[in-house]
Amino acid sequence: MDKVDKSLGADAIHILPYSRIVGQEQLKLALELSYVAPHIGGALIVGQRGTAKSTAVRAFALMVYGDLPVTLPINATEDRVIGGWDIDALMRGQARPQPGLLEEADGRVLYIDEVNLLDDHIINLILDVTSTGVLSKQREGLAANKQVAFTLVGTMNPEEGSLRPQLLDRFGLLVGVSAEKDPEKRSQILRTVLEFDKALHAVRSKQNSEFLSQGMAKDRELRESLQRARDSLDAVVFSKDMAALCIALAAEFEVEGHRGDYVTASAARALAAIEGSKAVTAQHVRQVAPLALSHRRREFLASGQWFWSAKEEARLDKHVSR
Amino acid sequence: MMESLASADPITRGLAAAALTKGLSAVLLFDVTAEQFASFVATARSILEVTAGPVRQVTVGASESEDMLWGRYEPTNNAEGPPLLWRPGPLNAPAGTEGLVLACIPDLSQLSLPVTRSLVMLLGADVAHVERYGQRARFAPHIFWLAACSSAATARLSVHMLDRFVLRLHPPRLRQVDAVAELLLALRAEPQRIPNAPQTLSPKVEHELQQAKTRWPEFTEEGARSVIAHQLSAPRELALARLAHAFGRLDPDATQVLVSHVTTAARSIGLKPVTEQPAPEPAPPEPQAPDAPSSQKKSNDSPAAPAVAAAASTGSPSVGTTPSIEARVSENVALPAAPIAAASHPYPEDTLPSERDASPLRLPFHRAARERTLRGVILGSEPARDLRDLALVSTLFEAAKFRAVREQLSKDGERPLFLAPVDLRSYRRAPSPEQALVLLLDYTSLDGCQWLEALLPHLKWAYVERATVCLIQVGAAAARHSLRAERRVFASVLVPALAEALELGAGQATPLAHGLELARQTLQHVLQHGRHSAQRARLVVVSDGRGNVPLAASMAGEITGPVSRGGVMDALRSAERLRAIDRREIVFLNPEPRAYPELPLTLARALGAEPRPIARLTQRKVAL
Repeated sequence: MDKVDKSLGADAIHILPYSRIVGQEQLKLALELSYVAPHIGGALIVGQRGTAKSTAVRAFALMVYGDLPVTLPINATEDRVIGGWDIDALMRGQARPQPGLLEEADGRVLYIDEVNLLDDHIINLILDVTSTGVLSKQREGLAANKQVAFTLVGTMNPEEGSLRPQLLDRFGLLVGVSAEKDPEKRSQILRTVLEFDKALHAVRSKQNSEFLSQGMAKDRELRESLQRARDSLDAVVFSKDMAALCIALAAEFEVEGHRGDYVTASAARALAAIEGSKAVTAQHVRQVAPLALSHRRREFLASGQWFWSAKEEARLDKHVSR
Repeated sequence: MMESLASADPITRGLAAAALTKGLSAVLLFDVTAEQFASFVATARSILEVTAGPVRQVTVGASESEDMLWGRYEPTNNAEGPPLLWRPGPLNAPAGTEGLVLACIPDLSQLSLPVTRSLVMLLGADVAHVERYGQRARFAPHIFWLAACSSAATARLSVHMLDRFVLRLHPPRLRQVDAVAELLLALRAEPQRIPNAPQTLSPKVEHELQQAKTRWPEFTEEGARSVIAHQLSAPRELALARLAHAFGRLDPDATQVLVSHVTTAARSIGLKPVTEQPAPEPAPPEPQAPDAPSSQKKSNDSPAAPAVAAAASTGSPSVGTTPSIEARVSENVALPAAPIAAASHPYPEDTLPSERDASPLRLPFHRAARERTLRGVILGSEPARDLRDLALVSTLFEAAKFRAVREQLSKDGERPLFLAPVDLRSYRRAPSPEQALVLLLDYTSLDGCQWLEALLPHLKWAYVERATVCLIQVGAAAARHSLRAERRVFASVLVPALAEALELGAGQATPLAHGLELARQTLQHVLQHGRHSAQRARLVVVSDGRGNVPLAASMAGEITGPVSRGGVMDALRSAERLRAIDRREIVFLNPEPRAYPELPLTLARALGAEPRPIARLTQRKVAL
């Protein structure tokens, strides 16, 4: 796939630099944790329009991979998801397989915008691959199996319906994002977006933009920092006490299955690596637990309504402080 | 010819602002006629040709499919070349295609589900992706959207999609021309003379737009605060800020975006001015731009002076902004061409009772336990699972892709089109309700009984069967005419407005005969009319049989003589007519009234239904 078009034309793709995004700390944390520890299983970001969900995901991929994420749009047909024949070659009499998006995302991020609007059939294909780690292509004369592993990142607006529990469980972390309420922060967001508009106006007028160049410089620093954390992940000590705490929290919040405690532990370790700590502490576990546990609770799975209130925070504090 | 932007109507000024700002390139026009829409499309095109260069106009209509929008394989007449060629959709032109796309949607409320889903992907997106039939594209949508919709229809549309139309504009409410002269002119004109040719802009307007393209005034602190003070959601807040900024760019005297620009922007889309809380410390006066002497002059003018109005219409700022937006409005920022009425709210979907489905953008579910529907509107095609409802053209196209490979296997050297089972494709269709629930609710008979509990099994049945629901309201408190019953249709039981409609209290009269007549007509309609008629219907009647409005009175809208038993007898006659309809099941729920307990039993007999008693509320429940 072509790299992001950095030309000056009106058709060029421009994304706000990641480090320029104001607020949404939990959303950023989830993306960074998923990058440092890919086995967490990615993140689902749930929120209303205008909360920088898609921008954050694209900007993050651009920062760490130098390109936009492999994106599965809701208009995708089955052949593009799991792979098929190169149709133009086929019509010339050459049978040449064409890899699908799931194969292309191997070792990278697979991003699904509006994931709750995805066709049921396509969801089934993704579930097959994420649960077995094997992409099986048995269609139109193709017969192939391939091991694939990707980090699943999805964004959705809850007004358009929820996700099936099976797919929900495939996302390691869940972040509920909402619009900033603090007027100062909102003003800061407004100014940032208007500055970005100005920067694009400057770029289209063939002028330099300090706003963009500074943002990209900060992105480079952050990418290096995240890479260091990723490299040092295995060296971070995870004690038996912390393992017991993760298991206890999963039990406290009546989490379905065993992925809850595993993801909590992995995310806590990634957080410790990001912070440069040598060992995981209870505070690390405390900070990531809502991201890892909230969407696996029985209450949530029964009602389809995601919530994590001050009451849950208090329960978490009480348990961690024991 | 448009002489200047200052003298243009608010929609034209709004379009000019949107044409300057990529973040405003999705405009929704409320309550415009087809002629007005065509005229505004022509205006938008003229403006965009100045601000963005060549424009390619595309109309997105009600019948578009995903393949038409995103691209499809089409047959070629070249015997030597490939049998099919990929043709990209009109909105995702191949890279390097010059020009901006002006996408016009004459009626947003009529769009099909696939098109609505596509809009959600494209509107306001930094980047869009196409991954279909072996083809892939990634592009920054370079599209200016101009759609029309009635404000009432927003109650049925996806809020998620509506949110993406960041700029909402209403047409001028007051007719500025002689209506009689306009009508006579229209009668003389050729019927097909709808103004769809690009409207000519005067050199002055072109100059104004060219100048605005190069100008970039900075937002002031006060300006940003006044945007926040409107307490809008984040996307709406940003849209207001961008509109204010665009008005600042269109203002030749502005070096900064001031509170007055924000106020002008707010009023131009129909937002009520808000009074900003006083700043924590006195705001310093706006620094006067050395090259903007005219601004100060305008701010000192009398509010009634025409020059002030003209300045306000272009968002011309004044020096020394006050903290009160309301005060600012009263001073000099009223738009001259179109007074904004309270009804012109830019976000009508916020206040209208919702009539939309629970998940309006989701594709219909495949239900394994039930046979695939063979009726309903075609949404696209999919690999066939059986030989019914085959999509023949799609099947032939599928076979054509493999033609070159398969003909190599052909021994006689001819080039037939081989069809293999794997090529077969069938239509994917929107679910068309196979069942209908018609619910006649006599609100004047519900007192003291657990009617909702009695209805629940039937509502559950409607949910399971994905049945369409028709509610006949008899004697409801909010009836538009107390002597008539009313009919409301809901796509399913999940429509939130149904719950609200059920909860209306009792009104003054009981036009039961009219309600039963409406029920009869509804049953006939859902069972017998159209290609997508229901296979079976269930009628549930909840009534104590005490109709007190004769059918003739309901029809005439007034009672002219003594009623006596006329209402009851007419209801029984209507019930007997209703009984004659085939393919229906009638359920009669008896509230068991203390007075005239035999009446509901008589009505049930006339309907041919077994009366089922509704449990009475206990004393304790009544007290609660």
